[in-house]
Amino acid sequence: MTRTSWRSSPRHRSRVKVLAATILAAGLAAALPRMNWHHPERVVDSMSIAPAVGMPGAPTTSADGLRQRIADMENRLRERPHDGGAAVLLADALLRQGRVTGDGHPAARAAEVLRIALEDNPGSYDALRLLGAIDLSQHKFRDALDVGRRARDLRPGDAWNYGVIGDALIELGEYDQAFDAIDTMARLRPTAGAYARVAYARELCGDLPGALHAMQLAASATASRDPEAQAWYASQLGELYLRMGRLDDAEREYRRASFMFPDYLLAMVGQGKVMAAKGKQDEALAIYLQQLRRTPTVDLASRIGDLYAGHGDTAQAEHYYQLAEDLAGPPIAQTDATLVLFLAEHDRKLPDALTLGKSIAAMRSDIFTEDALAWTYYKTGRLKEAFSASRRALRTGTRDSQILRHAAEIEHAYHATS
Amino acid sequence: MKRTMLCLLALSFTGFWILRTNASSHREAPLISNDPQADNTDVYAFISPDRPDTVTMIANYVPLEEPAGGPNFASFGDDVLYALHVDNNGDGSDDVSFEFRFKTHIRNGNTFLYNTGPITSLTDPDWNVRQTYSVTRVTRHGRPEVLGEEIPTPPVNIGPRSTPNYEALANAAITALPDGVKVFAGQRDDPFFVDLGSVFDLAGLRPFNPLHVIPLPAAPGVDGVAGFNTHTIAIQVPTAQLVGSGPTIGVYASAHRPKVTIRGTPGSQNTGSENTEGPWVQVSRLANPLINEVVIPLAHKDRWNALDPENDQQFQGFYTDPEVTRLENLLYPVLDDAPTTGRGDLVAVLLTGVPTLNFTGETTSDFIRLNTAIPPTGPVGTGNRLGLLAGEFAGFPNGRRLEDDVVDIELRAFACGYGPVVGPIVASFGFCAGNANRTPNNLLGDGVDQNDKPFLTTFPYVASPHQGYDHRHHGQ
Repeated sequence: MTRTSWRSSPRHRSRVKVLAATILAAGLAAALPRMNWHHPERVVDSMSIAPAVGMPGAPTTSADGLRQRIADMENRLRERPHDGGAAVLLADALLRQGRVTGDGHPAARAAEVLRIALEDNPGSYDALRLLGAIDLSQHKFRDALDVGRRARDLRPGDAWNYGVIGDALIELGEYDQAFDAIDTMARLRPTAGAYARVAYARELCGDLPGALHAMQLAASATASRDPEAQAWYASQLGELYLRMGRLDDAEREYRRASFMFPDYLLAMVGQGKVMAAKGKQDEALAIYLQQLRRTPTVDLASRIGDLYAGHGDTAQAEHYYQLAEDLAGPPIAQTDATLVLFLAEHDRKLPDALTLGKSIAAMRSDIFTEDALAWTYYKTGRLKEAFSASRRALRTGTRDSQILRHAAEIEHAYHATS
Repeated sequence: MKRTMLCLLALSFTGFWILRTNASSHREAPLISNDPQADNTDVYAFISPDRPDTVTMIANYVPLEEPAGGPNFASFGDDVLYALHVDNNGDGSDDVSFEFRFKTHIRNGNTFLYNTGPITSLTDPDWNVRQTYSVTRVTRHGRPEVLGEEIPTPPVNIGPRSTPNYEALANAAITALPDGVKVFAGQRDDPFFVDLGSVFDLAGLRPFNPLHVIPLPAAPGVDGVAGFNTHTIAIQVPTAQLVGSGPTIGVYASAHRPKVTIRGTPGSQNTGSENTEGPWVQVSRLANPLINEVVIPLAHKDRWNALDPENDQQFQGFYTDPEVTRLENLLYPVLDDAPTTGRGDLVAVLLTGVPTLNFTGETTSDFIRLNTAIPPTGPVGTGNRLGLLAGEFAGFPNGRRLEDDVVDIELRAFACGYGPVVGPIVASFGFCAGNANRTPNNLLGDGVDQNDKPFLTTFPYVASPHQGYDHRHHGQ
């Protein structure tokens, strides 16, 4: 075969195209000094399309940037439904969008396009890797763990997968393994994502100053072109300050998050929490109600009910408590102990709460599930079980005020009776 | 069967309610790791034409920085250790290095704005978010010496209201340090030039479009870096303070972030941060252009970035059997196929230095090697873009000047198209199968031959940054 025949024959041309694409995909690019070639996790097999949102040369992760990227990639998929690169870029942007509003729809759409991409090309590493993150956001922790491990086996040097594995294991309560994965992630490459996971792990272990320091490293290691991530890290700093009782610092970080990304859900709710902690109940209520209209969650409805209860408005309190229950959905829909804890805290449907708590604890044994179970046992008068679940909730050394408060009450009652 | 149905039902229920409720209640930190502040883009080292007894070294960070970058403008990282390293005895490890640490100062904690009025001086009270830095010199056997602290950086170039008279602000940030050292750190025009859009598209070179296996009409190159800014660290040092017994030095730049682990040292509990912040981890390094991008395969990049050049022996196979050459041969059938194995010429150009020009010994390590005994040809920006290939011994790969067209030089070198001056010399060493001036390999190029902004003739030489106000970029 002569070279000229390659050029003149479409069949051969496509063969060369595939060959060339394969070589490129194997890691070779021509002179590409600064697109996303420095690190494997930055390269998507959509490389012929564009870098991921927030990356150099791509739209930023501002509200407009996310909207633009989602629209562009949805259009592209309408034209070419099997464009795996567009699917990965779309799913990545949708994942960000979901975090902005707390709405689950974008993640569901992301899961759908990734499923198609993986059916078309089961070997797509980028689609697989991203699927782990989507599974996490949909609380499919076992699936995420499985996907994360498969992706890790394909590319052991990619720090991303250790993040997925670590996140899933933390949610499942398998802390030793989770911490090993996160330390591996940070050792491979200290990035904002690794620092943030170290921060959360330290917080779980009761090391709030250490958590704060690691989260500050995360915030400062975030690109200025990534306001969504900037807002996320600032919100997390706000949470940590809130836990440490440093309300002014918390308020500043939540405001910073809102400055980076207007109306960022975590930041808005956080500002409400600061107001509530400062005794400014009316301001807190206004913020919560506004956010509830935007993103109805159990947490918000419950907080609003509590504020009304504090005012002595039992009718309104009951209205929002009932809303919280409705929003949580049926028992079968529960992936964590949020509803259990809500019911136990508010002395509602305690037998149901206990049944549900036990079934969730059979799926995952993280300290928050154990705490909810302990508190439900306590409320139903089963002190011995409450005490042992409470011990399990304390096993990481957490300084979480709610867990500590429950544990103290349970221990007191347990020793008083035994 | 019934059980399967129940499971399916359960799954669909869960899915539905997850949509309704907050699907992100657990802590999902972002996974993506875009870290432009700690990302080396280019390194330059040359004899300063206007102060020929000094070497100027320039390290750029923050890729493809949009000039209109508000409200959260690009900056150096406070938690990043930036360094320029010099090896002067060819052993691959540092003999002299300069470390830079930045510190952000917020003047008014009540606002998150960068400035609250025009910035007319480096001490203007309306400038709310400022950065200063320190420079520390570390020599192999000496103690680290702090050469300067609280050195100002200029603001970013925002627009005629916020940063009128930008040149004066930038000039005020050029700082003289002890021992004849001069420094500048701040936003600049990105001096690199390359047709990113085309090379990203299956290694396309627009002038050679008809000759690609997927042909397109020929077209002039488009500078994909035009209009973008970067963050520059530039330092000018008397040559005598850098060289060892010979005149040639090796230069590379790096960025480091603090190492962290969840738990402290074994046996300790809840140690707080102080015991768990270990030493620095190198997250990026750069010397010769495009090595990280085209020579080191994807799966090895993170490890390559974390290692020092003295460990580069293990990567030598990627230079002797370069994938780039294989791709050039494949995608451009018109080329006279260059050997894809045994490429000792590339080892010389990129890992040991070129014999009689800037050879530093048998140790293979990625440095920009500069023979400081070779005088500059003229003011910055006036050199021949093809450097050594055009017979200019003061140009790349002897050091790297701002005007050196490293993309074209490397494309030709990888294709054994060194040209009539260097080709015969390379061939005389037995490389490139006896022909290192292949045609048309010696004409390869991306069609982008110079930077979009003229360079300055005085330190820091890199052009002023594009202004955010009058700048529209790439449809973004």
